[in-house]
Amino acid sequence: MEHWQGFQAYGLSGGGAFLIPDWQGLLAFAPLLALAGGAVLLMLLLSIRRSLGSAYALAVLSLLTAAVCALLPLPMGFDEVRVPLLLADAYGGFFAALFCIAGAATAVIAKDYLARRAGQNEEFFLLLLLATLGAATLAYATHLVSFALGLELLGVSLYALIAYPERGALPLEAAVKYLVLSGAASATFLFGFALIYAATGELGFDGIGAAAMQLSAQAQAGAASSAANAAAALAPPASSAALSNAAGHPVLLAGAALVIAGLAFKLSAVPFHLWTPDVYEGAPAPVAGFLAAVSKAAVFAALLRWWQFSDLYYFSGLLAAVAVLAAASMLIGNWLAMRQQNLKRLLAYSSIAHMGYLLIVLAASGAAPGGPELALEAACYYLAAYTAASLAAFSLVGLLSLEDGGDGGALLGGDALHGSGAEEAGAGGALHPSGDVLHFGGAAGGGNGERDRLADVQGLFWRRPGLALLLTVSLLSLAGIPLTAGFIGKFYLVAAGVDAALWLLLAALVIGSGISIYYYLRVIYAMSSPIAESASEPALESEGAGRAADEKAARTANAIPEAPAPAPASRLAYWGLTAAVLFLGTVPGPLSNYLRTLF
Amino acid sequence: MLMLALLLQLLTGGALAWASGRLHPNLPRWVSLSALFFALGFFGGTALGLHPESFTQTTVPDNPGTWLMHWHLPWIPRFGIALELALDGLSLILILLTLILGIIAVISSWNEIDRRPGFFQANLLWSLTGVVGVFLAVDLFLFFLFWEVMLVPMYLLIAIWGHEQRGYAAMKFFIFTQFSGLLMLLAILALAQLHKEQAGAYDFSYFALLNTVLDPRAAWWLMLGFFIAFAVKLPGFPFHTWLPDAHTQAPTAGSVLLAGILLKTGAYGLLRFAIPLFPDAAREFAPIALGLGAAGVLYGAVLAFGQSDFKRLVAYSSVSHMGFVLLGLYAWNLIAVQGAVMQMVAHGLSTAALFMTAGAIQHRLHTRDMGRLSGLWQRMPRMGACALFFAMASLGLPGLGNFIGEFLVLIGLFQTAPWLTAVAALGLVAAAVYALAMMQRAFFSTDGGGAAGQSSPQSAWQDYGARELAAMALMMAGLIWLGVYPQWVLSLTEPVAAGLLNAAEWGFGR
Repeated sequence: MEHWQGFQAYGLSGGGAFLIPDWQGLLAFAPLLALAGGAVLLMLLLSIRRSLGSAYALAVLSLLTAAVCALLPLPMGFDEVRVPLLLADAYGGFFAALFCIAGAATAVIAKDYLARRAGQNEEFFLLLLLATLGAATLAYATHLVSFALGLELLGVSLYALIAYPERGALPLEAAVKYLVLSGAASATFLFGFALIYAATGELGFDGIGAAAMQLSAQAQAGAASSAANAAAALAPPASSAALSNAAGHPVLLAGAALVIAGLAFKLSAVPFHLWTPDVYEGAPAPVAGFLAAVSKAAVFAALLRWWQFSDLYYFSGLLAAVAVLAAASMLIGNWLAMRQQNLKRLLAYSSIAHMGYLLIVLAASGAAPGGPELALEAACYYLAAYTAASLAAFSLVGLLSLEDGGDGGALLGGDALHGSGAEEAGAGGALHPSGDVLHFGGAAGGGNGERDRLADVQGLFWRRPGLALLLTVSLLSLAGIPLTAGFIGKFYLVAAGVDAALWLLLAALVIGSGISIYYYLRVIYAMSSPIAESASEPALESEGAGRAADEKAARTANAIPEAPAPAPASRLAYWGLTAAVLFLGTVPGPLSNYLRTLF
Repeated sequence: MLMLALLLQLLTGGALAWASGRLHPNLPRWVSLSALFFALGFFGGTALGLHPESFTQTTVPDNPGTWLMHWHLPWIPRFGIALELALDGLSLILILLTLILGIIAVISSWNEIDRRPGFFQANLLWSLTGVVGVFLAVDLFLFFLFWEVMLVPMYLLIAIWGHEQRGYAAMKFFIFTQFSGLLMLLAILALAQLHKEQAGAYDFSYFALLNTVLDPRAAWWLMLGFFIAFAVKLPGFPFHTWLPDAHTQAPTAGSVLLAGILLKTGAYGLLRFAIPLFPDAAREFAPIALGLGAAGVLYGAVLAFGQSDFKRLVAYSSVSHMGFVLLGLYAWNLIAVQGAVMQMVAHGLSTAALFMTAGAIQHRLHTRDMGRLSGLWQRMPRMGACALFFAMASLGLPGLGNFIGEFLVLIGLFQTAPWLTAVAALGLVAAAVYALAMMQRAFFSTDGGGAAGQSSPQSAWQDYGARELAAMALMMAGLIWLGVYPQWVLSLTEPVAAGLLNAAEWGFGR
């Protein structure tokens, strides 16, 4: 009978045993218990009394509890706790805490939207809890079963979250698209799991690695002996040192490749990215943020752990595949982002590019001579920075829909699709006539009613300086400009790439980042340009008259009361996310020191 | 601490200016001006109070050089990155230039900015913060950070308050600099990595990296990464295409800052980092750099002559003048390097004044097209006289600072590359042609139609007032002083240049 730290074993009369966790084991998995318990309680609560406020409070409470629990092992200073399916260590705790905090921020931000929507919204928080539970499971997963469990829990909750505004056409389309393609991806990686099991007889990450090493050692020994005469010079000696760049067992490799393809879909790496812009555009903005930030980070965290524990980086074929995915995502993602007029689609393509940057880590962790530590730290820092910045960017874009008392009501319901109201026509509509006409045209054609076009942020600096400032910070962070978290993250990535001498991938990163500057700046330029100018390039007036018109428009805009101001809690969330981005960008010391202790 | 205090003064000055814009639209410019004067007094008072002897004192451990001040605070221990600032004669002069031109920029935009003056002044001061940081940072990570950070406020200055094609120009400026900056980041990291392999730990300090032993091939590529970033900013000949757009479209204060200071950061980077860090690779590269410099001198001058837009002409003349700087730096001997520094300072003043003239014309007559300007001298003699003075400075009239700079560069260059010197000297002739043509077309000719004159009301023809005259007089005095008593700058920079030359001996031309 195996013994696991943190558990007491009690023998049974039949010869088996059951395990009761002691306080250490309980504490180690407390984040998962808090999330699961919160979800159960929320379900019970909803069956007794439906109330948005209490559902929201319960969800945020259990998310924050889980986040605190995930970080608890740190001050208490105990080791990792390992069970067959999960490993509760500092790495898992870091990501679980990250996802729970991001989930809590999403809940806070989403509350504003839900408050304006008719109908029953309480289940939104239930789904959010379940999705975060899936993400946290992925953070702790060290076994293909828990891996699959986490992925499915996350995925299934997300289908429902995306389609939550069930009367809009775009969200429904997005959800169906995500459902169908995600199903295909699930089938792909499950088949990959099966092949890996067939080849190695193992499902745990460690076991797969050991078995894979053995298999490739045998294969090389066989190859070396059979080809000893013909190609003695070519065949490498079957020593453990020569295992790097091993050919590997074909079935194992095929399985791993299928799993990577399935996960690349979840990460939306090129060429598995086609669903991304449509789904992000259709999903409600907070959900899109959660999808871009948490769901991707969770999948990446699990993939990285699998990659490390199973020593997959020994296989040159897999390394090459990952490098191709990375380069294609960086270049194509950034290239396509340049051509977008819709902010959410733009951010969707930018998230594709960011996953491309991150995939450098997988290649670097295998190739670095000094060991994979720097690459792993880079991944953690980058994911933290990316999560904060992209969550902020998506939710701020969502906040645009709330401004001007415009069509925000249509946001989740679709009932008020045309109910833009007199105020819009009177004041808001006058600000950028052509943009609005186009926009409503699109919305009436079955859109989700969000104001997420580039034209909608025209002159945002003068209309809502606070919002524009926050959005600017998050975009600059995504672009990797210094003093923001994104820069330090990118610095880490480049350092890891340089350490592993991945010059081609770094060249792709530089080119990709160069392109990305263009589209991030385009948004910032639109925000800073005067309000009177619409995106459709009006006839050039004389400079003086234009200026006067700007001034007038600015005054009109200032006169608009910021009617549906976001609730204080969500204000706190926006400022908190931005503060996190700036803090990680200017004082990277604490987090980087902490990450250093993880590996 | 003085250096940190200076940075913080500018930073908080910007924040204050922004905040004061809420109280009254005219307040920010006063706040900004007083912040700059305070910083100048604070910095100048302390720095110039130092004895000349102290200019060779050693305050940096392991680098017995010419540093006056040194300040160090660990920042990101994971990578051995520190907030490390240091000041020597070179950075001292450039920071003084920065602060003075900052004052000029505020004065030149006094009446021009009618939209969001608070945010304008904040961006102005923040970009100055970035520039001063670039001149002070001796940790390569910190240097890169300032290098990038100064772009954002400058981008906003162009994109928000610029002229007709501001969006395009601002974008081009940002992408050029950012892309080349990423190459430099890659080179910095690769250099730190090589240093780590030798020393065992990451270190981004300039003084540590100077001692890295490099394989020639690696050094060549790394040097190229630095060179491209600095040559784009300088701008060197094939990388200059962002400059005419950015300078032309920027508001007057933006043009003053861009031409006066931001270009100097490129030259400073070459002198401080690109050549000393990779001396052998730089020596191999010198013929190419000299060729690019000479090409820039001539190409910029020829294109300047072809422009009809006043600001574009001045912008191209900057390309030509910065070609001299490139020549001086890569001639890499004492006279030429000092000439390059002199040229940087003098060009900063003269070009800032010309951009201010262009801004004044644009503000009054709403055009910069010299085909539509004519006979300005008769209506605005004071402006004409000032413009004539700075046109003369720009063409290298003896007695003014630019002459000293170009002359020293040519003398130094002659020791290394006599034929190239002959080619570059043609640039002086071409400078006379475009500078005089500019004066003739805008100020003297009466056959240009004077379309702008007829369409503008009489009130538009306002000659310089006391405020503008004071700014002009300040710059004139500076140029004359540099021209007749260049020794001040030369003796400030001599220990620096000599130190760099000793550290990176090229073995010819001294």
